[in-house]
Amino acid sequence: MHQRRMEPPTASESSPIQLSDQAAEALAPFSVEVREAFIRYLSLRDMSAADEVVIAILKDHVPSRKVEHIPTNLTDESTLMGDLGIDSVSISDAVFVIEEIFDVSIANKDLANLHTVGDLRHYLRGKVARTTVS
Amino acid sequence: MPRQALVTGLGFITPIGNDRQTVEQSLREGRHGFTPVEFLNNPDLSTKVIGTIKDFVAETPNWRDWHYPKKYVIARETLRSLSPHGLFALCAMDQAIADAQISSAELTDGETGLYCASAGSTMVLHHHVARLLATKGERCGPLGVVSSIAGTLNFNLAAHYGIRGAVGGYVAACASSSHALGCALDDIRLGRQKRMIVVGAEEITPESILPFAAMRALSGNADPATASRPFDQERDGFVGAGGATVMIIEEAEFAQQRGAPVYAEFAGWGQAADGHSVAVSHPQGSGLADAITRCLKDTGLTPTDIDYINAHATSTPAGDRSEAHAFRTTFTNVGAKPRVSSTKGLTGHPLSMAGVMEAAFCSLAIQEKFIPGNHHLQTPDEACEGLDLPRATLDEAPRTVLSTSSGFGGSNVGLIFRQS
Repeated sequence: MHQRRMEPPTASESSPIQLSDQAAEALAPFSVEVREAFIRYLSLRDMSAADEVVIAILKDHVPSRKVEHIPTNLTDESTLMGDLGIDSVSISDAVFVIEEIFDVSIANKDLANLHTVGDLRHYLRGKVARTTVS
Repeated sequence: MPRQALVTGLGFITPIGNDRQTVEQSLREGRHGFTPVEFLNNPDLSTKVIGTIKDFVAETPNWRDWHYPKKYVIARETLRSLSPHGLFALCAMDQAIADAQISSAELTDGETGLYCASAGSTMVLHHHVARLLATKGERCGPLGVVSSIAGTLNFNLAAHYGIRGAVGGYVAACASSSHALGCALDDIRLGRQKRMIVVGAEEITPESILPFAAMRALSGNADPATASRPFDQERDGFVGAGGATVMIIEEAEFAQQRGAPVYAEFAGWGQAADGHSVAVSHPQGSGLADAITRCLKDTGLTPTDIDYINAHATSTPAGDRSEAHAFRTTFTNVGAKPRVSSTKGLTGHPLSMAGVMEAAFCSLAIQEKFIPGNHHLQTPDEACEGLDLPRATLDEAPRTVLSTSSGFGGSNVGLIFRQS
């Protein structure tokens, strides 16, 4: 007892792509498919794979009572607070997980303008594009 | 007639049981809740025994690692802002609410308040602060504050149960939840609330327990059967413990009108401080003696009215001696000889939670008609001369019971419960 458990994502073990410690920890709760999507994004800059990861993080923050009532395929128009029922504190937590995994920083003034799944998806695309260029 | 308060609900997640029946059985049969431990995989540590919570695994900051009995259904959005002792508290609160036969709607009408006590989660706070420092202040889990700082219990429980009355926390180390109970009683007496829920909880991690080893306050005894032995000549420190206990008290007429089950009357309380040391009790127990005197005065009772004292006594050399002196001053010297025991011989010392846990034991003892014994006591310290320290639990019905608590800075509290 009293040993700290930390399960590394299995996808990274068979991949030449090395995840940062914080990305590995933040991805640990997600399915193999999500972890593999992140590897695909990292290795190929496949932005649709990045979308998969973002959607998984958002779904993970949907309150239990709402889980059965949201569509399997979220649309860009789905609002985070209204349609997904994620309150502002949980949005902060979801954004923290996105920051940890994608190694980006999302400023308060930007966060205030992110209301829908599409807002977040497009914002992240812009953000990682800039990171890649720099 | 001044308003009275009744104890109407109890919930237990403790080293000696996770429900009322098991706790009572453990107290009657002298079953301790201790388990050998090797913190941080370090066999060189002197701390070898702790009071553990069975059927729960909650030893990391990550709620996804935790396991708890399936009968507790907790949504992930609730778990996300809890620390391990918050999980214990939520489960104990579910029990207490069911025990008091209160519907969830009744909790939200503003007539119910919530006072909590814990040291917060050192482990979870450390986890988040470590990330903060590693990123030079740029990144930290957004739920780090509400899941870890002292106050985390009231933040989470008030939100989860929709409590809209008085909500707050009490921080006086090992006297904390006794202060919470006393102030809850005052709120009922003053007519501010009809019902108060008092919660004490602590977690059992290296971060929460080992700092007391640095103070030389923990037992180095590796034998679970003798490591915690309050009032014994051979005692060498306390055994760390944790868990959660919840007590619900209600204004008497309000409780009677709704046909609430009743354990006991919460009859009065008193507090006084030593003004002596940051960490060590006054050698003669002067603050505790004053707290007991004020408690008796508040209740309108005399020392000879007390049948049983559930002592704070944690099994530290200085603390138990000081408490024994306080009892001799307030009881022995005026010809009163109540039964005295410390149930920490079975539970260990759960810090902020101790006061409400032992107040709950006293309520159980009154209702179920027994007096818990000093199960690990062999040879009493000479400072205990004149005190009646039963070894085994007695089949005696105590009518009036005093529970004492003492915390760092010399804070002392006495609470009196009696048959209703």
